[in-house]
Amino acid sequence: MITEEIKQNIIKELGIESLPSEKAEEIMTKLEQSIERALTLEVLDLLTVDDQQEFMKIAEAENNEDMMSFLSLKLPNLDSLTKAVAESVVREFKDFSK
Amino acid sequence: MIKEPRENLNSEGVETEPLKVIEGLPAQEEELKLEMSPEEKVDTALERQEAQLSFREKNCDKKILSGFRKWLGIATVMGASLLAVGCNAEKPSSGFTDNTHQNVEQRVKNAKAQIEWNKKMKNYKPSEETKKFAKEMQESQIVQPIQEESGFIDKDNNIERPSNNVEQGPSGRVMNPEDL
Repeated sequence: MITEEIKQNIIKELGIESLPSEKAEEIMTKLEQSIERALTLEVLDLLTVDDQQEFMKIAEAENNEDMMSFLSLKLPNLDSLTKAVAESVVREFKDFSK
Repeated sequence: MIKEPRENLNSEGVETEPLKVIEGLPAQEEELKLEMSPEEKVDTALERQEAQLSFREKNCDKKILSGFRKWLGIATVMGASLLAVGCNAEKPSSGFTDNTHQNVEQRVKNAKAQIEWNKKMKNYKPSEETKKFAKEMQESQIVQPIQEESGFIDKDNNIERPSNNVEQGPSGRVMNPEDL
């Protein structure tokens, strides 16, 4: 859950304090989606085609536990990858918007 | 003299001089950005990111992409914000603020939290495991004395303390209340 404090920290970190709040919200939503997309692409790069197909089978069954087991087995460093990708997307946004 | 499109071409269709419309364009990207408002700058940044991602996604199976995207959100941050992770925005605030009103509010909040903590600790009974852990922690902080300067020789028991060439390590023992 994003608290007001976290939201303000994000806005400050992105350097978009001067923008209207609606615009800031829009940017945050788009960046969140960009991080999800970038992370998905990085994960797909790390998995073989067979792994991807296996994942899709588990995904169709919608079993959370199986999903988590699969991901932790195939991507034991998913947490650090997530953090790195998220930080990279934010850094890129800041560079592009300078 | 201003040249209109195609007017700058010679009889063989080769450009002889730049069109005015090209001459007027900013030469560098930085020059272009200087003319943008903050909103335009962020829009451009988002568009560039969008273009990069779309380009990479073109080579992937759409079904697999959407399937992974759905589950990765759940698996990685359990519904929390990836953007907050990227911005390190979940770091706890020190509570410091330049705003006097917020400062007072924060101090009241801290004081209330302290009172609640004190109340909780008043009735706190440590478990055997906690007692053992606390004792070990205390003992690990008692460092073996050295002979020179702060050390001493335990003559009665004929024990010599190590000199200060020896690396000090924990050697203490906290007495049990029943031993006292």
